[in-house]
Amino acid sequence: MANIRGKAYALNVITPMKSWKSGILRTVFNIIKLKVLQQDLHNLSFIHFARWTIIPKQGFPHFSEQPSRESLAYDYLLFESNFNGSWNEYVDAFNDVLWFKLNLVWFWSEQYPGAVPLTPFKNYIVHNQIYNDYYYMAYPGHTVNDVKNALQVSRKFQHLTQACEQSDASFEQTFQSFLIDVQNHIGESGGQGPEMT
Amino acid sequence: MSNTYGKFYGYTGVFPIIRDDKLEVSHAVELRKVLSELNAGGGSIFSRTGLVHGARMFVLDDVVYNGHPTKEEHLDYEYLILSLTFDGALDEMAQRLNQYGGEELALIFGHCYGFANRDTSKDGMLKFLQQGQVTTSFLYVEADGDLKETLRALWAKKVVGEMLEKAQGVSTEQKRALVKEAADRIESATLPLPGDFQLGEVL
Repeated sequence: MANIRGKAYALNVITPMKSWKSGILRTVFNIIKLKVLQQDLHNLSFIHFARWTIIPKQGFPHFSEQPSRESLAYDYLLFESNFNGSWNEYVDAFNDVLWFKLNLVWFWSEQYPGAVPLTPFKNYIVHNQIYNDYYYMAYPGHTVNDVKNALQVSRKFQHLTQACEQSDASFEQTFQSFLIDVQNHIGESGGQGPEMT
Repeated sequence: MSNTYGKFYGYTGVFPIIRDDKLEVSHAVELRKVLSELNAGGGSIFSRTGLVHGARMFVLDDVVYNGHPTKEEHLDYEYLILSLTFDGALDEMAQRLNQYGGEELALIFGHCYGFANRDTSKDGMLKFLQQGQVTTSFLYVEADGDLKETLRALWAKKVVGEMLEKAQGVSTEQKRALVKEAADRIESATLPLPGDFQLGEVL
């Protein structure tokens, strides 16, 4: 199934939206671009990358060889996410932690039922989900936390290697500090990942 | 514009698929077959660019109708949606795709308008990508390492874990030697290709 690659799942949801609402949504995006407002997203720590794209009704790309242009009544909002875990786990957690922001973004889409209660929300996602035909991940055997841990260990280890020329006492102290810093970040990772649905 | 998030670029492409009523099998069906058979691991088209963290492609047959009172409407064309999250800028990506895309480029985009008649230089590839581009409204990337650093760091984590296990109860001098040995292992390792499941040195 092309929605899954190793430990990652790729979700696509496309929903119709009245054109006049797109301007409001762009303002919402400009607000939530502030890093300080993304802390809850960071805390979830299972999304590799995600994006929202507004495709205006007159903004579907047109090439000169095409006999005609699209003529649509609605703009379309495309949501794409790459996350670790199953579809249900993701939607549950996403909904539980980010329900307010989800409402801020999807409120403008036609027939959006709201993030709470959960069942109509899930039905809406299922109805508007488009499956992938191809999915590539550069490090498919690793979760977001594996990657973040690896970067932390690797960067701190570079400091430790620089301490090799220090005196014994100083090196020993740096080594102990390094051990304390990284001990919770060196677990095994990699592999195909569990079977997901 | 939100095509970027720090050092990362989020490209969203929407390419109209050629409509030809005379064909027995449509371009959209042929394209789906191509995508389903395309290598998605190490050595694949996006792996070869050395920049892409994640890529996806899907055929958008039509828009979804959400029921009354929404107005029902349909697309005139089917579209190939291409999303890439990569290091750097779009012109560098276009150059790499042009250089390393191989026959897959034509297999994929040959079913879309504008590809066959494009200028085959890197500038032509950039123009093609730009023509199919829709500005990403909001991009989010969790980890901050570029691809090269990330792959090396994943290997480093494994090596450092093994080093720390050996360093228990040994002298300071032995610890120093273990650190140097681990640093050499990390530095000299030939890493697997982006997209591979394998972790560690390629033997």
